[in-house]
Amino acid sequence: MTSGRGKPASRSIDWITFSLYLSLVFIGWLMIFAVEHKGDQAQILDFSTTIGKQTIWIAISFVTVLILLNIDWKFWRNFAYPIYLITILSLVAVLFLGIEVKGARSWFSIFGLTLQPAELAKFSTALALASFLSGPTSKLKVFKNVLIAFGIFLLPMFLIFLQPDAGSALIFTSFVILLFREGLSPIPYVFGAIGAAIFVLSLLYTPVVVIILLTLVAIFLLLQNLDHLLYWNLSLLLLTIASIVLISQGLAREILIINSVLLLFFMFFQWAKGKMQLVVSLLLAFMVCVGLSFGTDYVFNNVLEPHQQDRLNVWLHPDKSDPHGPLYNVLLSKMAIGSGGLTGKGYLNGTLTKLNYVPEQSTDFIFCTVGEEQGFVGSLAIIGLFIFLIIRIIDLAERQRLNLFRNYGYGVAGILFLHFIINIGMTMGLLPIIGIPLPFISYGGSSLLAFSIMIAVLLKFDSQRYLN
Amino acid sequence: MNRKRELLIRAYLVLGGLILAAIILIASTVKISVIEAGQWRERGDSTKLRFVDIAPDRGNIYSADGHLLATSVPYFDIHMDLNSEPMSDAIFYTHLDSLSWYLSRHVFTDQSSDVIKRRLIRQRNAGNRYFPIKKRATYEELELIRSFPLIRLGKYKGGLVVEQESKRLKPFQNLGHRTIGMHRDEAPSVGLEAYFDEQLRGVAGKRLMQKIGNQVWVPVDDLSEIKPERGSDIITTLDMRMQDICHHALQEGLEKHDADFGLAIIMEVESGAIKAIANLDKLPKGGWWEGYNHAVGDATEPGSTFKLASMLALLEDFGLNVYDTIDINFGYARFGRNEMRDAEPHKSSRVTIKHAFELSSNVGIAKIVNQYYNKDKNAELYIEKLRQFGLDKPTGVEIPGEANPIINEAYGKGWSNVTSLPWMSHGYELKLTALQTLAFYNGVANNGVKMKPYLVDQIATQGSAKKIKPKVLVKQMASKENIRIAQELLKGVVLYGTGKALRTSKYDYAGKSGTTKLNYWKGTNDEYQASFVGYWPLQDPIYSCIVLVNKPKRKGYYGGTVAGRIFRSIADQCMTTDLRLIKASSAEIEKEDVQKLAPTYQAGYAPDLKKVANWIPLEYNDQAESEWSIFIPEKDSIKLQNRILKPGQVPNVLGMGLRDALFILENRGMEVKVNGYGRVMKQSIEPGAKLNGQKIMLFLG
Repeated sequence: MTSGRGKPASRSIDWITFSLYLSLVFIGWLMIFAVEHKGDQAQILDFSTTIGKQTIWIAISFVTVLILLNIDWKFWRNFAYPIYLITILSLVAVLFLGIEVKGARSWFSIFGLTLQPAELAKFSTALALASFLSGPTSKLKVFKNVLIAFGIFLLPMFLIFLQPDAGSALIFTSFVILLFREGLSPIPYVFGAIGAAIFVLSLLYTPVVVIILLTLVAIFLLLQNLDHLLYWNLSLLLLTIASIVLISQGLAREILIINSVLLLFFMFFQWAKGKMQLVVSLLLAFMVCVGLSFGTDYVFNNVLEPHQQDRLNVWLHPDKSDPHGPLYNVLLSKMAIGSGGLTGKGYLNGTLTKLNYVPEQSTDFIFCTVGEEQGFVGSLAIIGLFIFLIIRIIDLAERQRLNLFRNYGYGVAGILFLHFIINIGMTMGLLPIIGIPLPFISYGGSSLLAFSIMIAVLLKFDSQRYLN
Repeated sequence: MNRKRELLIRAYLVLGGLILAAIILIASTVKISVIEAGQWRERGDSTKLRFVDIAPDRGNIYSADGHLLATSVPYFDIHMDLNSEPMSDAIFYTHLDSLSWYLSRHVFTDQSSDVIKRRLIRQRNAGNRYFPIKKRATYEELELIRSFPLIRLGKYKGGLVVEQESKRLKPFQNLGHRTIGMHRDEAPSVGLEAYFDEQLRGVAGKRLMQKIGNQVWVPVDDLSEIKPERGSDIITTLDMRMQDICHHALQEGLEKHDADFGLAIIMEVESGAIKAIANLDKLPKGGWWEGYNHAVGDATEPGSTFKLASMLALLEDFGLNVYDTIDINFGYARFGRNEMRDAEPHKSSRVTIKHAFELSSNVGIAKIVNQYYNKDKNAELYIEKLRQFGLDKPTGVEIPGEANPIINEAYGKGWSNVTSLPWMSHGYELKLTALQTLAFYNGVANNGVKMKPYLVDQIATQGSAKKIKPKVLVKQMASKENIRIAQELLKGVVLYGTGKALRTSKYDYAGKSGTTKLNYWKGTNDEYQASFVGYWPLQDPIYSCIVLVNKPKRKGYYGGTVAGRIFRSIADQCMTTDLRLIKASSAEIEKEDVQKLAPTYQAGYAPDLKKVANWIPLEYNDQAESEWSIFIPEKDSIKLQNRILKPGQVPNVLGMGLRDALFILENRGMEVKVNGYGRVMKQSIEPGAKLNGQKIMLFLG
């Protein structure tokens, strides 16, 4: 049955995934070299330099991968919770024993190498959650299990948030993808999407504008059981257009009053028609959304740190934000990517990325270097490799027989996906700046090691897929 | 089966989300790297791009009474981008004639509009993107040029390129010039500008500049600009009224005695705040100029003003009785082979020690000091006392380059057992700056608490001000009793000694004169430095002051007469202008004087006018009930009556101060321009005209 022992692990691993992994790590190494390369002899083996350290970490990661491929898969099943527990303990410990870098206690320092437990927590949380969900039937029909499942990833997320490292903490929300695949009701996702939309719209415009939008949606819902529906909907369309025009003329308050009166009218109308339940539930939903919109304003102004406000402003209101810092980074990042053009300036020929205009050039903003030196073709290749890798992982997950393997695969795919989309999205100004690395490519030992472990365990699981 | 189907749908939804995200990313990459590539490449070409610092606005320096002492005024270098993209041929040629005409008339006045027109066309065709219009333009000039045809279309269509720089202005010019200082690149900065450079400077911003031609750089117009942070404002302790008094009293004195240079400092006794500091050098071509901060930078032999320190040391160490007598031998003594003479010959020989001090007898002071300290060879005690008074240390005033005092070690290198003590005792063989001497006297006036002289009261950064607290240099220089005796000695100088001639019945003051012989070791020509240091009023002193005159050549050279007279002039003028001093003054303000000086046709805010009138006190007939009012003289009284300002009409602000006039006019939406200073004598729009936000010119006088 478990014939892993004595049998070369490589014989049955998925070579496509492994090659994708190797190529991304290699590209990452080349890119870090390009950033650090200042025309003089770069010290690949000088371990005090960034590129030297990355070389060591790549070696450590490869050795780890080799070892993990030779560990029996049952180890992970049996030790999923102990490993998770150790991770949680290390996340607590780092709050007290960690060294402080840029205001966050995220790192252990051991023999000159620094280790970030948050990175490894991504792996162990994926494993623990996969293990928990891997019963014979879907556990998520039971509410208690939903709570436990959420607890498993919210606990490390919370501890990482305390460091504080909001970026890494955010990554843990990627487990909702796994939960969705495993049968969690879609309703929370719809609510989540609506909530997120209200949040962004409230920041982008004002709560008043969002509420006007909500009144229109509510009226739309109240119209749907009327006769001559087409005419009603056309009238509503006209009202919508009129609202938009008047809002742009600075008459938001007036429009709000008119729409509210109309909404009330339709509510009474439906009530009179005996549709009490519809009216009440709509009214409740409407109130919650209004509260959320104002809540957004409150949270933005009173809860978020100034630098977090800045980042949201840079994202949503670049014209209004202080050109200090974040906006500057996005602009220079875009400038670097854009100046690469179609085919790039050539390897080691990037100029902007070498001038250190963009901070975190070899970590969070490594994608700029690809854009500048390899151009559109290079950027597309990186995006393609990631998409290919993630789809391949989902594909691998779907072909597993054991729930544990499938769940774990989805967990890893989710983590990679969120990293990938946020990191590249922020370098192009599509998303707010959130300091997280691009997997396998960004400089950073803990991150590389953690992703290598994730891939290694995934490969090991996949190689055992014919088990029963 | 159903469940399997559901799971499959879920998996496809996840995949779909992933692919959607990928499409967005790829679309964005296409946008940046393909569609906008040219634009980004141009902007991102590092050989054509560089960051330059944008100089922040330098902070202002204010006086304690709110006057602006130093400020930065912007000026502008104006260029035109003749090839800006939105400036089409149609736009360019439509406005070309009128623009050339305006440029010829207002800017290039030596060129005809035809010449300018041809130049503009040629430069446009040559691809010039940086055509100079005017360098170092003022804001008004910029506004004018901004209104020209074509240019008024703005940055893009009009091609207007404006670069701002600034220059430093000192509204009071020579007043306190050296103390306020200068910030310079070509030479070391001086004064407060140098000392507080870090605070005043602010934080430089950054701007991305693009190369558009041979060595020509223009700002890239986008968001990649970090705004500079304005520097902090410095609020000094200087009082411009007192500074003015000091400056002019000193200048008058220096002219009268044809001196080389002079200085005067006023310090507030209780806090050590320097209220005024004037340094005047004679210019070779005549006139006086603040060329060097002598008060802080020159350590010289103080001469007789130092005798107070010797007396205080004797009082502290030996409990000297100042009513003991001493033989001053008509002002002559020998120490070894060295002769000592008093500056002025005396009629008497045996006098009390106190009187010897009052007469400023070198011989008297030298003899006692020698007698007490040289007998048992314990001069180190004397030096120790000088240290106790803090005379061996600089004051730490906020002016770079304060000279260190020089006080030799007892029995150290260059010490003479025969002459050192006697000569040190009356202020030779040691060096102090005028400010250091004043700080010592100020400490005596302040009952022994020696305050640090300081010039900066507050550092204000965007709304928040950091107050700088007065600092104590020496907690108690000597026992309270000995300080009291020292104060008695200084009082005696004015009552019975070298200051006798300068007594006044109006108020009491105390002080000490000094007449230092310069270059005495050369023994050739007689050159002197006259000084006077003291404080007033005698009871509860408020101000201390030192005056020093270098090389007076005419009409005397004694400290008491030359410097003392300037000191009196300063003190006199201060007495009449400071409320605390007026209260201390023994002279009654005559009621008639007040009525003679009464304000007539002065208009303003009624409560203010009443407050002033009541304080003077002025008798007037109060008929004012409205917010604004005016003093009208009647036959033999003065009436305060209403100034009625009708709504919707241009108000009458004649006779008002600028503050009231501005408040009224601007509140009515008018734009005010001002000429001159004083009260409003004339307004360009007659009162009663219809209001519609006009521009109005006020002539003050």
